[in-house]
Amino acid sequence: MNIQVRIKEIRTEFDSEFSACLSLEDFNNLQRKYLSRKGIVASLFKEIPKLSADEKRSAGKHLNVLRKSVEEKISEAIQSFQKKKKIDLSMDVSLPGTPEIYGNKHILSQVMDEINSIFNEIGFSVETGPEVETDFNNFSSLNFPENHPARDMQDTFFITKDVLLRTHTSSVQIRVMMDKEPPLRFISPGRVYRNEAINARSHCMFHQVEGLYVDKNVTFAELKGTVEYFCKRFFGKDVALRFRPSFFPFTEPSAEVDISCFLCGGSGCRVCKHTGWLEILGCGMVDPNVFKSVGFDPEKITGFAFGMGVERPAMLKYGITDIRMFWENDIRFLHQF
Amino acid sequence: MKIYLPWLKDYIRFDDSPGELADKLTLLGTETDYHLAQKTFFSDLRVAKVISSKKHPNADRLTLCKVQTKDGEFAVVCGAPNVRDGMKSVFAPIGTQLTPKFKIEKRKVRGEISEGMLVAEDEIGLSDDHSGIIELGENVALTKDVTEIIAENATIETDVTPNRPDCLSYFGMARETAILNNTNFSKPDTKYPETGAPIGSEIKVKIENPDDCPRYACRIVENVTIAPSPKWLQNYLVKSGIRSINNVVDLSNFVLLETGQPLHTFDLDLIKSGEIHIRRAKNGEKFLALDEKEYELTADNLMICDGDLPVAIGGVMGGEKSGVSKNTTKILIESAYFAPGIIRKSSKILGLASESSKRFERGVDPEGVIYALERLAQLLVQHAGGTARSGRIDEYPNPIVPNPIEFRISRANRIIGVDFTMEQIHEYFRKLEFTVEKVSDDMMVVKPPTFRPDLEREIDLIEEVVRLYGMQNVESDLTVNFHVQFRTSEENSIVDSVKQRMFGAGFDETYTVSMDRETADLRTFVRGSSVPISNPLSSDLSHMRQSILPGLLRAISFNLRRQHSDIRFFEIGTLFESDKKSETLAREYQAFAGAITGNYLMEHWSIEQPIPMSLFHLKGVLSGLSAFQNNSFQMLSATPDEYWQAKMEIRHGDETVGIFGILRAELLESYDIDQQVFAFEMNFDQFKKSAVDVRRLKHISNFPLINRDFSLVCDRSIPVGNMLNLFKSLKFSCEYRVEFVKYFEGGSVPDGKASRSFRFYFRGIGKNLTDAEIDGFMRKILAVAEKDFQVVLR
Repeated sequence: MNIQVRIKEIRTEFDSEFSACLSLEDFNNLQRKYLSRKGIVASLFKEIPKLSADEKRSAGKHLNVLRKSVEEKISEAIQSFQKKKKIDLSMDVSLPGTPEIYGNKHILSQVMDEINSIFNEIGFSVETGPEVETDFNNFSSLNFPENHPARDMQDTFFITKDVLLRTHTSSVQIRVMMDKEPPLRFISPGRVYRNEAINARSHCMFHQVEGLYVDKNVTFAELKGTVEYFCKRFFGKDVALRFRPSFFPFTEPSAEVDISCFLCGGSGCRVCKHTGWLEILGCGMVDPNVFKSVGFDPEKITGFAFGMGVERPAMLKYGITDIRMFWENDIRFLHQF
Repeated sequence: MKIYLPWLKDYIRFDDSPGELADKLTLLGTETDYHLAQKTFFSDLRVAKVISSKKHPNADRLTLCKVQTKDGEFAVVCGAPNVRDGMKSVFAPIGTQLTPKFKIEKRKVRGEISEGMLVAEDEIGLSDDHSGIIELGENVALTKDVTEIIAENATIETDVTPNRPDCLSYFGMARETAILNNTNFSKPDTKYPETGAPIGSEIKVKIENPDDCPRYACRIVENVTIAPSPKWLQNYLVKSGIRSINNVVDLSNFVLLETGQPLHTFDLDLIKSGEIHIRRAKNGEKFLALDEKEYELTADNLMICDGDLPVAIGGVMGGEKSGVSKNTTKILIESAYFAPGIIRKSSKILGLASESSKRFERGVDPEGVIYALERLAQLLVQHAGGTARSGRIDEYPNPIVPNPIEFRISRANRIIGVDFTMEQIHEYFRKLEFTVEKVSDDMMVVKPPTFRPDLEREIDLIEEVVRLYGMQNVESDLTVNFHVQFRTSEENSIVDSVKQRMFGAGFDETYTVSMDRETADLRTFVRGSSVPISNPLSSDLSHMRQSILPGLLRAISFNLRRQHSDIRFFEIGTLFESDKKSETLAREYQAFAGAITGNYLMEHWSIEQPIPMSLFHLKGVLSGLSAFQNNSFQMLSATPDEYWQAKMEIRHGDETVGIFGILRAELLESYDIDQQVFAFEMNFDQFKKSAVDVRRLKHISNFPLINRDFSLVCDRSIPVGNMLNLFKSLKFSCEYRVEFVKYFEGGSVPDGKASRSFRFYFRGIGKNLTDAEIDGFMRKILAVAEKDFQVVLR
């Protein structure tokens, strides 16, 4: 066979074997096979003396090219395996570490998880419900009369006249009470919607955690204890609480809970509008009308409910100044928490 | 509502500072703010009496004054129009630092010495009023502390809850203040002379439906002169946040704020028919209101009519044509009780709210109607030169009588968690002006006053008890009566474990908005039509979302525009579709979605160049999730489509539960994204159901690991995944696993074929594997590969 053709064949064979090599060992074997004294390339060189003068010159040239290319490819491959070792020897330990990419839990998830776990400690389970709700579950059953100014407190997105985007997660309370018998003790976290313009202080959607405890003899004093426990666990045990009478259609008596401003310690600052107090939570004893609408006897059963936003305490606790940041997902924001 | 304390003090005495009063009212249930920050220079200010004043010789508008304070006499050059001999005002002496940049100094003004300054309200930060220097009463002592005077003249601001219409008035706040301070408040009398023919000879009232308008009263005051209001009245209204207009309008507003009863004044000369007719509007009827706008009415609007001609939208707003003008002399005062429901509807439909409608829709005091009527008539006589006609009309066919409420102390104690005694409760109810009749040691029958429409049930009275006792004083009960509640499912722990894996893989959790455009892109598993919002904020947020991916793309785009190009995002959230059979008309799914773009390994000294993200990174991440590891979820190649340049379907049985792949550049362009994005979305409800816990310990062998490679040549159209699945399905009597390690084409591999290298790992259980055994395994592997894929060993 013509030596030129053989050189070409061996070249193709080498390339395919080279590409099949996976380990340093493979490359060492390949080097032995082609470049050792008894290797393929050497054996070709041995055939040169048998050739004619013209053939000698041309074959020598091609063989040298082949040998050089095989040598280079293999030694480069072997070197790349050894490269790491070489760097080790001259290691500057002050070099920055290899960046490990960790993902981050969204701050709202972190806050909701924390709230959930605090309530889990004192016997509250977690219940969820749909975001598209009936007017009955969101308003009527919660003692919001039709044509009552109380409905103005919450601007609502409607799907139809009787179906809407829930304005609070109290609708979950209704669903659970319709489904189960007391004693019931759970919180319901989730997304809620209000038809409000989007700006730094308000958004058309946000998150709430509401809680309910229903049993034979639940008192306002227990409500105070529960809320106090939560606030001190969440905001720090030194915060002071203030309960003041308020109005919600679904609770009676109703209270608004303020905590002493943890930014100024109660002496008054811009965040607490110089009052020393931060409004954090609404609560009260479940209104008898709510019990009637789910078929519980208010003479036998009493209970308390509370509800709070998630964004607002998160903003207070972490100094977040613009509510839209929660929804923009700027990675510089996401990675800060 | 703004409460000007000197006005409040017309009805009740109290010594609280404005701040103290605000705090006490807040704790009693009316959230009250007192804004004014104490300024350090207040203590430098002095009460001053102007003992002489004359025109400045060199300036027309300036006055040279001598003022006396407790510290002595001072010469002052004053520019205020209201300065005059004998008046008392507030004086800032030399050295007073009014602002960081402005300190009062002795100086010459147009050649005359000035040793201080008489100040206007704005100059010491009390209000924006710069109309003149502050005027103090003549009886104020020179020695009186100005700080005290400022506090006495403060305004506090209340935020009244919708259940307490009574608190939208000075009387209401005086009543609450009286409760706090254990005193009483007194209403002014309403005496005035009456003359002339009885009102009945001039006007009649006809109520079409007493359910809409249970009570309607009116009176006539003649010979009124329209003029600017006296100074005190202007001051009271302005401090309460109401603009002063003229004496008649101002007095009417005064009584509104004082009593909480809205009043309306008609020019009686413009009421032609002699009959006030209260009826519902006809659909389509038009009306020009006082705000000079024309309203189209419906049967939900209650109208006050002159015969049949509408002259006011009852309880909401008067008409342009019948109102008091500068020529008015004869006034008809209306004082009514309209049913809250109709007023609310009426105001809502027209989008028209007023101080009147705000009170009517919450419920005014039906028994306060006459007092307010008489009070305005008295004030018109006293301050507008009017003479009152004899008698009044009072149409009140069915008097409103509050139902008596049975109240049990035991019930109150059970709900509040405090042991109240009969005496305590009695005392609270007395302060609240309830009529109480004791029935037994536990029960009393209570009649609340008519100004408290919110008190209808026992529970409402219990709220009053805890309000007056003070919520602060209820001792917190930290006993937790534990009944363990079972979770309905383990769903949350699956959410947690999926999230943990995603964080470990470098994905950030996002929160994107659940509303989207109507024609949202990129639905993956939701197939029903979308849920439209009937009153959306904007067309971009008009429907409930059907995929999380558009939100993720917007978030990626947001970051790219801020030069952050290496992104891994995921979100678990709700998707929506119409479902006519559901009571909510919607079906909701939990979805799990993610998108990655940019580099997988960023630029770093230890690597030659960054490694870009690829579809296989995403695939690797997904493969690590439990439902895939349990083999209940499968990935199957699918045909690319308008959104996906390369696409795989996630299958659960025969059902497609998700998609992942490479998004098309044209789609990305519409989100302003100019780099490759790999994305996925799947039905997370399905995922959770499929992710059953199948964990059982598999034996762990301590014998050595042996590996063998095969490079197999076969048709290049055969997917590697199929080969790998075949090898994975094989069973050997040892620990066994297989990895795909290398793909090769060209070279010695014939055209149309490809070489795939697999590495097989074996480890004996209970003994070492012999070469012969492993050769046997490898033969079996080759045999099945030859059979299924016609491979040739390289």
